[in-house]
Amino acid sequence: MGVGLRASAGLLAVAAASVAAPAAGQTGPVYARAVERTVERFIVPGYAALSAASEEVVKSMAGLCAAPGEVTLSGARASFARVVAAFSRMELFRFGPARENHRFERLFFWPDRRGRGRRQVEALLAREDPKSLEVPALREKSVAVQGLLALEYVLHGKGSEGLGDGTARYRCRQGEAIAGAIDLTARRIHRGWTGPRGFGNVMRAAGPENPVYRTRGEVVEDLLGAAAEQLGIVQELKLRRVLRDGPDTAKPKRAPFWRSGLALASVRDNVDGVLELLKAADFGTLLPPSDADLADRTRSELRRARDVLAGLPGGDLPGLLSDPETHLRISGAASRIGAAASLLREDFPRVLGLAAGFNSLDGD
Amino acid sequence: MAISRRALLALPPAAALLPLAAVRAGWGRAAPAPPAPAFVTACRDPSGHAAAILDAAGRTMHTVRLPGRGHGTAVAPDGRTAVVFARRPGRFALVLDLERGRAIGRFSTPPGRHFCGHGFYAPGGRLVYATENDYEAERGVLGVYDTWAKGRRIGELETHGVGPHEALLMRDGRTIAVANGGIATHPDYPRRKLNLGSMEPSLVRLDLATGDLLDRATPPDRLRKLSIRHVAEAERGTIWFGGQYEGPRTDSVALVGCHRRGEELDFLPAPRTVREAMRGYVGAVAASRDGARIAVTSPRGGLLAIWNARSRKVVETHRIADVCGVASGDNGFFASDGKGRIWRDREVVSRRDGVQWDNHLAVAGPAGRVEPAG
Repeated sequence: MGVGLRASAGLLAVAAASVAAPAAGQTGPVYARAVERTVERFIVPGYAALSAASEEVVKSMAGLCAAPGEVTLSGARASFARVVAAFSRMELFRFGPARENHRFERLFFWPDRRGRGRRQVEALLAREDPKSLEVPALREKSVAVQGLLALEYVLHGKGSEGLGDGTARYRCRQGEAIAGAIDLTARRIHRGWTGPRGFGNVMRAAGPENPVYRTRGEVVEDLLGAAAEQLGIVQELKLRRVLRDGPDTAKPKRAPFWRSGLALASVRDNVDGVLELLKAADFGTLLPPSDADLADRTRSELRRARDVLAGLPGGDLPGLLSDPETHLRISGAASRIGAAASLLREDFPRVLGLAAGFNSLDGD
Repeated sequence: MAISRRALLALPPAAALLPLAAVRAGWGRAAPAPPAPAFVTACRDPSGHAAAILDAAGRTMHTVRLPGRGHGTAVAPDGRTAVVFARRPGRFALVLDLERGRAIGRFSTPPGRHFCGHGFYAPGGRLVYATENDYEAERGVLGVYDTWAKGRRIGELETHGVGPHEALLMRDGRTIAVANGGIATHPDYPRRKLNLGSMEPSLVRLDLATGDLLDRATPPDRLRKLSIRHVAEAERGTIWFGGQYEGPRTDSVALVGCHRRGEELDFLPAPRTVREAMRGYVGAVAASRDGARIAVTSPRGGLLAIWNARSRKVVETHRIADVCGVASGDNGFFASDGKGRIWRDREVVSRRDGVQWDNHLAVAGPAGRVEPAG
């Protein structure tokens, strides 16, 4: 933390004219409205909901540890599902307060190609070190043992059955500490967006002297980019790499949250997050009449993908992927998500005149 | 790969020092035809990805199709051939005859490795060293390819870091400088950064002949998220580097620094306006021919900034949207942008509609290795 000079809306130094000219983008009231609505109607309430859900999971874990049983265990698992849902809707925000102090990785260490998270959580559970039950000490450890996937392993991984019959006391308390760490991280991100020095105000105060955003167009560019990136991750990493060519080659365990059976639900919530962003920002108001349908087309692709995912029969991910018909339906949803990603990544910036330069894109 | 370094060392020492005549015999020689090639760059045009060879005025002399998106270019010491590397995580490298403007060879990474986009020729013009990702082990290597033997890969050196990006051979002809970005990636997750929670960037120097680690410098903890990616050599063996910051954008950090062997990395306190204008992202670094000036580009900030290498102060800034490639040329720095324009300092010297210059501009011709004055 505290790397170099910290800038905030309240502390914007005067920039020399020689290098401060805005590159491109719009500054008008329509853009101001899009930014304001996004912060007020989606980002701040979204993180408030994540904070509330993580507080809830701390309580359910405490309840489970105090009175182990099937009822308290399913209560804790249900709270966990709600915090995963709340996070998945906000997952697209990899910038801003989530990028500070590894907060994003603390909440969601994924992709985890080598299964580091599982191994580290297993080691933590095997060691039974009382110090690891303290949230501050846990936060000093690897980001992989203090987030949602770590808690998922506690609640759904090998040995989790002991939570219901009271034989896994240490495991339960470790889960409670992980929930506490998730809660702390979620609250810090929420706080990072609000208040006079919060990132919400950095976005609102876009201008030549703002160290992050010279124009509101750049804010909109970031929002569109974040949505496109999230959809790209969903399509390529969470779905295509899992679906592969067909039921015979599918790899359900590559999907995050496969252990808890929340893999597709979290993908649906990722899509919902983007839909909520589109609704809040109301990007359609920025579009010229000739391209006014772009927002609707994007929404329509996402809603259809969402409906496909919501309409799947019950059952776990391996089961759904082994059936050629459901495999095909999920694959269709992935294509629609990819189509929406490309509209957000390419068409929107082009039409809005915000196209990041070729060299400014995904760099090297 | 345990034997690879031995295989490399077993090459006859003379192999690296064969005379120029052998190069000509090996690749065939073009009739001299002015104007001479001055720069090489990857680009995208309406037909796809290509490498372009430019003259000293920035005009395109030749365009050579690439099988995918290219990135950096290594130019042979005699300036006749060059190797264009695939952008990561690509696996192809194309050998170009710069005078004839065509591909005369191609090689690829072996299984388990992909190129990271940069490389250099060893003296003698035979061996090419390329930064590569050993992605299963998450470690950086320099693959060593024999361009006289159809690009056979004869060995590799450790870069002593994760995610190497640009590497160069210093003017002493013996020391390699490598920027280890510190970011783990894997081709299964194209271009995702897999270890932002535990980045360890470094700038290392290796012995060209033995591969031994000579020096390894790392940023202080507060700059652990500064991925050191591009390097250039200034006077007196000083390496200048440019980084890309993975921490929050509200942090205003120094992205440019320099390093002398045996010392700590020296992060340079550019004016705050310059730091902030770079948007946390340096795209390329180049030294002037005499090593007295260093040019740094930021495509995201649309900025070309020039430092005096001695005073270590910014002496010029130019606003160029989407600028990235930069190289020393006649009477100043040449820079390329994503709109097909080539600049000399603040002036457009050539323009091609429909072309996007892609990231790096390499100096072609033997002029690239003039000895520094200091």
